[in-house]
Amino acid sequence: MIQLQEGEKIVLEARKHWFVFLAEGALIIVVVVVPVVIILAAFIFFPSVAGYLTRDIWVFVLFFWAAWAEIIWIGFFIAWTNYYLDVLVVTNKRIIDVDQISLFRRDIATVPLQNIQDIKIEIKGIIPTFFKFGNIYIQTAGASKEAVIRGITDPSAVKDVISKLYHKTTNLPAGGSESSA
Amino acid sequence: MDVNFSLASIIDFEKLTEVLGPLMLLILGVLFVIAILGTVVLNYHWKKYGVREASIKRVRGIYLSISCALFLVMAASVAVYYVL
Repeated sequence: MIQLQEGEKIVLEARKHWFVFLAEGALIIVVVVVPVVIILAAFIFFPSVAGYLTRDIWVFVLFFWAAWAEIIWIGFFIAWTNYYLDVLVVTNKRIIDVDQISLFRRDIATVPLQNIQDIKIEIKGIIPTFFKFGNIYIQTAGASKEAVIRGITDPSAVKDVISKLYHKTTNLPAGGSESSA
Repeated sequence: MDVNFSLASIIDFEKLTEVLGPLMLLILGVLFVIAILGTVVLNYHWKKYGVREASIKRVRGIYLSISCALFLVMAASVAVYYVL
């Protein structure tokens, strides 16, 4: 849970786009189906295999598939948890980028609004353009590297919110550039 | 590719069948421990890092129901092997 400072309010919570997770999820579904495909392929290409499969072996095949699916199911939820807890929180004072890399690795980067120098968004490719997701690059004063938030949903809207908050905080125009393809 | 090979010459099916029962019990035991640990860790993350309470219940429900169904299939397989 993120600890907010006194007088701090959450303005926006942005997550990675569901398509980013779908790409991982689709791979998991493929992995579950692989043993079934192998068994079917064995029957098609080596029909004599059926003669050797006793009831006990069939029972074991069913058991093994369920065990395999259970491992993948747990893996799927670990992937979903990593996706869901990866969040960009914009408050009226700062930007908090929570990067859930794995279950036991969590990076939290904080950028005070007044330290923002430049915000750039990047929507690259057909799918990101169609589904409206992309990367946000936040250049900050004093930081050697820029903060990068990848695969975020509707980066233009997020950039607008951050720009407005920056205006409010500093009373200065926020610099920014935008690129999309 | 020579498809007329004898599978029985490569695999001893009688011996294989003998070890299937203990192997299934071993896998079931190990997987049960992994599932318990996995569930505890996932639940900890969902609760600690701000997944909303209503969402937790729904997500946990989906996760546990499919997990239970898969464990039932595994348990039924072991039961069929040893009882029938």
